[in-house]
Amino acid sequence: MNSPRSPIPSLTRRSLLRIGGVSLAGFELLPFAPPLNAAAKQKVNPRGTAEYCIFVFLQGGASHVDSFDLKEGKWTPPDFDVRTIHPDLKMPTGLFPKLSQCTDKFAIVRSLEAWETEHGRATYYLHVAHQVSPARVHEIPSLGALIAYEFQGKRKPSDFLPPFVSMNYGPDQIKEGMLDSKYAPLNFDTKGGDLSFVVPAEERTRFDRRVGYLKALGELKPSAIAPDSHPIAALDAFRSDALTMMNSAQIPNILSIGDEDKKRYGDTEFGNACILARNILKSESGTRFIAINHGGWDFHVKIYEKSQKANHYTKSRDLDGGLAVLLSDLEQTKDQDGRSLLDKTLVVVMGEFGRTPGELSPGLGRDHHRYAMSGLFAGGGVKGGKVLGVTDAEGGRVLKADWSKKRSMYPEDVAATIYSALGIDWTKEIKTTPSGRVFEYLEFQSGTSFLDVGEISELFV
Amino acid sequence: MPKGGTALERSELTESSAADLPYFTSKPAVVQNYVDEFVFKKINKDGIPRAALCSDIEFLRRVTLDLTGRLPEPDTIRGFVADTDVNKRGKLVDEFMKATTKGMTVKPSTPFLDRWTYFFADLFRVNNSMGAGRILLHRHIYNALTTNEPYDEFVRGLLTATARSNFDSAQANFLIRFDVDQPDQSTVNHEDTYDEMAIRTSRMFLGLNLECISCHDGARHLEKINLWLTQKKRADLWRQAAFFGKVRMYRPYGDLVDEFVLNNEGTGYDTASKSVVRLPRYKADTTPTFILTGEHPREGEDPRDAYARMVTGNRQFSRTIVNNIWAELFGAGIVDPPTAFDLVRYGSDGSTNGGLGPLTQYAELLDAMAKDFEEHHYDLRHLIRTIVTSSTYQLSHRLPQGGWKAEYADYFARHLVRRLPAEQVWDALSDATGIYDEMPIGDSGRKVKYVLQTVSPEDIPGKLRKVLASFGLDDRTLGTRSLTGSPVQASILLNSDLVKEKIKSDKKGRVWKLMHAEPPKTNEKIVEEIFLATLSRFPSTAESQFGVKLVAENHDAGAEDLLWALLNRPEFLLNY
Repeated sequence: MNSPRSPIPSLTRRSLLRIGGVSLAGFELLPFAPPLNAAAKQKVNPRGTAEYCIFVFLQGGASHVDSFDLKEGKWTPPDFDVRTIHPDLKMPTGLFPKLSQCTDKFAIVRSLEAWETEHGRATYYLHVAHQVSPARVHEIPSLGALIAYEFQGKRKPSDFLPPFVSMNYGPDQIKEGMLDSKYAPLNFDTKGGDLSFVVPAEERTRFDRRVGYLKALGELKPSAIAPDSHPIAALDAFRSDALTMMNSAQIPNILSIGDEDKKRYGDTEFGNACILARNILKSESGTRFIAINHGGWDFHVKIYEKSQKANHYTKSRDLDGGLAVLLSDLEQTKDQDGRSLLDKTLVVVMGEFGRTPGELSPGLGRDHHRYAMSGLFAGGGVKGGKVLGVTDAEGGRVLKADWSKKRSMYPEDVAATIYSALGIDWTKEIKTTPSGRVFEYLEFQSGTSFLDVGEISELFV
Repeated sequence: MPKGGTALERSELTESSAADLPYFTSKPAVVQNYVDEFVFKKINKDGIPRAALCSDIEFLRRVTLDLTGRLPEPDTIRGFVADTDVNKRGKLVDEFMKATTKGMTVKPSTPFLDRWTYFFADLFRVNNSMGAGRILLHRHIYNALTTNEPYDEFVRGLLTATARSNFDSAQANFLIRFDVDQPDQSTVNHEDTYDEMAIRTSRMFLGLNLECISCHDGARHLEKINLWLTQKKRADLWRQAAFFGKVRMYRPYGDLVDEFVLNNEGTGYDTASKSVVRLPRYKADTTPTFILTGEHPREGEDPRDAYARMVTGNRQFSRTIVNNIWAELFGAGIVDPPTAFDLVRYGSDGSTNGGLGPLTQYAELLDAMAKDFEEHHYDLRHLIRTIVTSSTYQLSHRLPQGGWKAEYADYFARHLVRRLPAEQVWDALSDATGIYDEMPIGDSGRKVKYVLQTVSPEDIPGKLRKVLASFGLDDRTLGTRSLTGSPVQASILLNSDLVKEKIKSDKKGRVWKLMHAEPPKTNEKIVEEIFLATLSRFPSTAESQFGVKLVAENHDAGAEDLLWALLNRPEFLLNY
């Protein structure tokens, strides 16, 4: 399959290396470094209803008209089993049997639009809330990294997991840019992945013995390499961070995927990722933002074809099987104050764009479509059951956005919503950047138009 | 020819501890060739403290990694440090670069060829988007390096190739790699593809980053970044891309297969055509115009032939390849990053550069090396040899006396310490432990055991590929190679299944063979061999005592533990 050529360029990171992009410490608690001239521009009041955020990325662009903005036509397979949940909401219960039963737990937004129609650029925009800028692509941090940075001040001495964790992302994942490497995502692979942070119980004695030898060797003078040469200190720090995690008594429980849980969540790569996400947040050990990559929604060809190993049916059921149980488990987990983990966690589920509505393409699929797309929001103060936005009969254009602004919502607005829920002032900026250009958390100009970016407060009231 | 004496002196190191390591005595650096003349003159003139020459044992590890991507074998190390030949460093280099295929019935894999084929495959972004053609292009590069084909001829072949199918024509894969499709992916968007070809080839072969002007003019955007590009307009890129305007690429063999026809039946660069990945174009003159000279194709000359001639005939072409190879061997280019040539600032003293300063201290040196490269018929081996036999390349990484400041790095007055790239990390693990992976090359039936022998990352088995991605493997798609560290990398070396598999002594790897040798080896020898195989050096007295105790007390398990510990030392991952 031809992968789309992304025009994201491969500029090298010389300026970052010279300024010290590699931190001399990992993510253990340090005295909180003052933000690099982050200053608020206008007055906004972030609502701060959430402590955590789980971002499920429907990579490839999920077809909105075949999921959360269901549109029926001659093409609709009968086994979609479309039912009217309430006057504003029809759902293909055949694809989302579990989620159709708990629509009171989440909100749907149908008046979202994307700026880009190419995977790389659109994915970037969703994860960073900025347009790809070849000059700055290596310094601008992703949402997760920026959120990790903002929460550094709340990090406890007992925290041992990184603030930004992800599952099933590839090497093209957008990371921390110019921010300290302790805000980089720690990516886990839940498809038969090698969870190298978990030392099996039967190996613990040998592992501890070996680490002891390693430390002893390190103390023996001399060193072949001058200790002041930059990479040595960084490598030692990273190893120290890894050991902290590996020596934590809780890690084996957090990072293991039990058989019973596996079955409940559908025994899929995505289900496993949801289990890890739940475990990580439940442990409340420093992780604030979890991004889960649920890939493969890019059905240009044979979207409904069941003989294809992956198709819209299988993807939808994977998502349904994992997400519904995750929301339920988060809701069931209560802290000492009786607050549920779902109350404290904003869950966002979105792809990078929608797909062409109406009749299927000649290849019997749907292509990229940016003028309408849907997202699912839950937890962190979001009022379940809400449905915002109406598109036209086919699902091609937004007719009614259902919020305070007279336009659709864009990735910048989604980002503002996430920042707001997490109590972060999204009008801040960072002045001391490697390129010298000011980095605004959210730009108020996109492409050639100005945008009055705002949070989707209608989700919370 | 070496010009001075090579008297051994006790180290002049500020960091004295390394002097306690066997054979870590440095030497005074003397001028070996014109590279040193330029560099030492500049360093002395500006009063920059300079490192001493690295020791033989450090040189062996460094140059073996740099030229072959592998660690030296223990016996090679023993032999090299004992060798009293004053020319041994130069002879070692020649040995690596020797072409040994004359008259052989089976084509051997030569580490030098593997490593540099991989380098060019990275540069040209060889991957699965060429389909099965990637194996052909990889072999084409390997063969060109084997026969030491002049680099200019090699590049012209890539730029001008036509083919009825890239699946049976190696060179066509080079340009095929850069196709941009229409949004429905059914056909090629030719103008975007021409732009992409111009951008990529200008970056790879001329060190110019024309991508900046693909969406906007240089003026009012690049004044703080690149003064040469500031003068350029979008239409300048289109006129460069117009050299490809007669290219026609299409897929008659099946919609979603990457098998293309590549011919010269195109209809010319048309600014009116819709763009998928750039801002809309405006009407402009699109006569093919070479961006460095303003030249057009001659009467009746095929525009791609003209482009190939102009690119490879320009001094900037030689500068770029010299600089790219310099960057690969030193960790930083004379112009850094290598795609950032600013031809206004290059060679200037900086006084008129609007606050940007000179681009490099060594424009004269780079020009001299470019000229030398041209005069030697664009011979890559000659270029590499000139660099690695210079004293400049052979300087130690250790701080010279006199205090060091970050800005001294531009002078190349000490060698940079950098992490091994992902592919070399894994190959080093394989060699150190003696346990290798089997990696099939596509459908060819061939299997390789070093990552550096793979055609592209798709040949790396899934689990291993994820491990290498954590080490910043260049995926030849969106990313470039990354040499930074992370806790994940540390955890992989400490505890991943893939690494533990290599260390287990029952796998009958290096450690098992040492512990079960006939006649048996002493514990001292075993420890020494483990150190040589992993860290490419002899243990200090204290390290040897420590290791011997381990092996004496715990036998095979002790030797395994020692191996594990050495692989987790930062030193293992570093090229110094």
